[in-house]
Amino acid sequence: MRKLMLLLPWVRRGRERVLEEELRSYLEMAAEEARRSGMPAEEAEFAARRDFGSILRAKEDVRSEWISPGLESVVQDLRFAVRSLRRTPLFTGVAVLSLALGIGAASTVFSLVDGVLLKPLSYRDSGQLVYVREVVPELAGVYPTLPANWNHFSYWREHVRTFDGLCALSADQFTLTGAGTPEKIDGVRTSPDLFRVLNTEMARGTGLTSDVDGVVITDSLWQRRFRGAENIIGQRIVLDGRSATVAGVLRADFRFPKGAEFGSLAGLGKHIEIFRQVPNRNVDWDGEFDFIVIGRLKPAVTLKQGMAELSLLSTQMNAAHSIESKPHPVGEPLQDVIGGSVRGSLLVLQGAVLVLLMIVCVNLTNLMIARSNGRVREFSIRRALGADRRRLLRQLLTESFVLSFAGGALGVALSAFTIRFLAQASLDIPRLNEVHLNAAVLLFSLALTAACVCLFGMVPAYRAQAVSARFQKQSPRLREVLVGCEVALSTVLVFLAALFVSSLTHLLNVDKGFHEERAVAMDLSLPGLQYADSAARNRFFERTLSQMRALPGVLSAAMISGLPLAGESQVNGIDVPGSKSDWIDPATGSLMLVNVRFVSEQYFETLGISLVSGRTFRQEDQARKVTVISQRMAAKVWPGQNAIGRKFTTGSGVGEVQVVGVVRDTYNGRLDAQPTLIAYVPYQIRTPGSGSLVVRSAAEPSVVIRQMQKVIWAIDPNLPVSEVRTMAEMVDQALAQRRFQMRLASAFGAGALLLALIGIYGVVAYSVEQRRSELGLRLALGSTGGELMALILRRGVVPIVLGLLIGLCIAVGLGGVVRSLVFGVSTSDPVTMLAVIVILGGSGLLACVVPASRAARMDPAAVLRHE
Amino acid sequence: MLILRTLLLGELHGYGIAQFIRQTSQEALLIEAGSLYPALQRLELQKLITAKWKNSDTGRRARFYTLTAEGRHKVAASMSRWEEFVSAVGLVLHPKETA
Repeated sequence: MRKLMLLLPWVRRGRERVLEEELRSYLEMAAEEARRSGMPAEEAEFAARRDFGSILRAKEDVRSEWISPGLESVVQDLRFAVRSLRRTPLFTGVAVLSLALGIGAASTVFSLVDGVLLKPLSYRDSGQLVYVREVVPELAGVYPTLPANWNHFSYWREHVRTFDGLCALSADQFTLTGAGTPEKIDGVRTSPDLFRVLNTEMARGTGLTSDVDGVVITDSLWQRRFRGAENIIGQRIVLDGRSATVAGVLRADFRFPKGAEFGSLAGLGKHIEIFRQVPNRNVDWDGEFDFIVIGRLKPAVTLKQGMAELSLLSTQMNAAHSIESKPHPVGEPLQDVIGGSVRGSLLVLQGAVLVLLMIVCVNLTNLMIARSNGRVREFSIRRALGADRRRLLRQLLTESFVLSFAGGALGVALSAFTIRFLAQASLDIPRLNEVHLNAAVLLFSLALTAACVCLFGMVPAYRAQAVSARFQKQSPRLREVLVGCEVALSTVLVFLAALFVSSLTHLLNVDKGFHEERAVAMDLSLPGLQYADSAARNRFFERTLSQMRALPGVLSAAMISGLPLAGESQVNGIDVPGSKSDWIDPATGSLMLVNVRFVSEQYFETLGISLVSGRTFRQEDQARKVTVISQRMAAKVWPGQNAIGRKFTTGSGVGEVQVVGVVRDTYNGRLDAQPTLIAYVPYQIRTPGSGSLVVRSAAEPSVVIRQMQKVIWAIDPNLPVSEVRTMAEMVDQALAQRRFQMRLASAFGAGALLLALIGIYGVVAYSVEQRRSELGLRLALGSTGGELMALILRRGVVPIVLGLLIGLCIAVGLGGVVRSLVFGVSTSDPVTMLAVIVILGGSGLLACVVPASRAARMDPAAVLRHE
Repeated sequence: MLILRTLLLGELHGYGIAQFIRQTSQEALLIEAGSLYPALQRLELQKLITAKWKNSDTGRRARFYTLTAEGRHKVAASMSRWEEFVSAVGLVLHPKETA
């Protein structure tokens, strides 16, 4: 250990000082002794030195005690490598930075993949958890799967033997009043055995029991609302105006999947903080598919066996309870469901990042070769002075090791930083909060670094050895092949980036059907207790809307039961008189489903949804059975006919309504899906207990928001106002993931392009350098500068063209992988391809022209004199 | 071993050790500084001796070496081994005297 310490330069320097001083003190003592015996001072000193022998030799001998020779030479190699790398700061800088970027990006993305896809959910034995849904054959065209029906769930739970437990939960929101401002909190209603199925324990309390009043809260809610009070268990809190008892607090590390991961139909909120029992209720055996069912398979049971039993049970159940829709259950591992929505894009990202890393390595190989070619003279001299070939090789490898280690360390630091940053960003990536730089990621980075050492260290080492043995200039073919590879790989990434950019552009150009400018939206939900009858709810909305319209600057205000882009809900089939029973969509052969939206008048004006034909709602339409439908619905149900005046029947308490107008399409779900079929009805038909207020105002959004809150609290101080945002923010949110994808892909593409350019420039510049005298001679013999340029350009252009072609072929071949991720553009879109060719070819050519034109301008006399 | 033996008498600096060995061996064993210091260094790294800076009798700063417990143990062991060796060699060289 002490010996190893001596490898550290400062420890070593200290040691040197001690040695120096000690030897001096020896000499002085010897001299003093000699003086005492009568020698003159000067002679005494000389005698002491003479007796001592060689001081240098003695020092060297002492030093050799410090370190064994093998270790010493490694240290020597390391120091030499650092020194020689420091001599070429540009090369070292480019190499270390590009490695750091490559490794940093790779390990960041790997952390994401690891955290989101590979690492099991943070529940014990989470591999046994199954997410069970139901498939209703006649709805399968629109909704491939549906949440489960409560009765079906109960039937399974009662009879199933391959599962350790089954639980069902559904979305709910609770208004927490009492301590502090009223707050709307996302929660779920669940069967009490949820936590047993997930296999998590409470930090406090017993958890849900058969007591219907009991609630379980998360650690975050406990800390935030109750300041972590010790006596929380058994305390009574007020939810939706009724009292409930806290029966358990979850551990701080408990994570519940974000709502969106269960699909928009499940309608779970974003941050679930309250778990409460499902109230007893009577539900139909048919329809009412509302519950998320999670099951835990018995230890040795496979998913297939478990689902086979459930299917069998469903068949029995369908017969026993004469269920007409004949649903059957499907199950998939809960893990797949959670990461599933982003699996595709993450894997593509991972692929892209590996390609980028490959480019980095190829580029480094290229740089190293250029460097080692430039050092032929140095190696030859060292060979001549007696360095053996193994030693030279080892030293070159040490250099690459130092480089990749520095790059790797920087890369890991970079990735630690990016991951921290990503975890804070509000991206819609499930389990993002569980992502962090862990040991696996570190190992992955180290493995990559080691791979880089081998990849770009061995080639130049091998070549340098050959070079120094023969002292001969190499043909630069290898470097051209490398540049070709680089261009090909970059083409793939640039093409990917181009696809994402054009997807986003297409998405931005999608006609959303409404104008988001100057519109502010606010979500409200009226507690069932105080607003039990629709008259009370009506009064509330009427008062609120009229007061909001009176606010200064407000142009219009309206209410709707579900905003565009906020998810599909109130989904119903329709009945058209004259046709038999439910309306079937001829295109898909399945039920036609529409979103019912309860709106106040002025809704279309407020959001700027323009009228296609007929009219919008008027004052006198309140509670009249009229409807305004979306354009696409009109075209589907009455193709080629006038929809105005037609009648249809639908659910959600609407009954039969008559069409009075047709409006532009909007999107309730994703912007990159089809527009939603929507039937708007006056809210007074069946006033909903929750909805959103939308206000279009000439004033600043922040001012409007404050005024809106004031109005609400003046009418009901206990009403929570949770989600307040501008419509522009909603649109932004809907685009966030695409934008993120596009930015990442562009960053990769730009990085790849830059690296390829460095490579091309390097090759051409190097070949110019090597052929200086030849070119000078040609100039002297009468070649024009243009001819010379053409000669040199050929060097660079051939690999660029070949690389581009190969890269495009690969990109088109890989098109299938990204097809699901792009929108509005084909994966072999000729325009995109042309753009890639222009970008890569153009900038590549530029990278060639710079050194070539420098060659063409050189002074032949000077060059030849130099020879 | 000679160094260790010398240090058995108490702490001493490098020059002192060299002088002591020269005097006690009646100038028969001359230890050169060139081999003394590497040896001291080795012993120090083996933790048989420790060193610290001190002022000598003449008021000069010097590095004084002391035996460690391990060092003492080592001296005793190697001295007895040396004596066995010497007596064994003696037996071979003068077989009659003991016979």
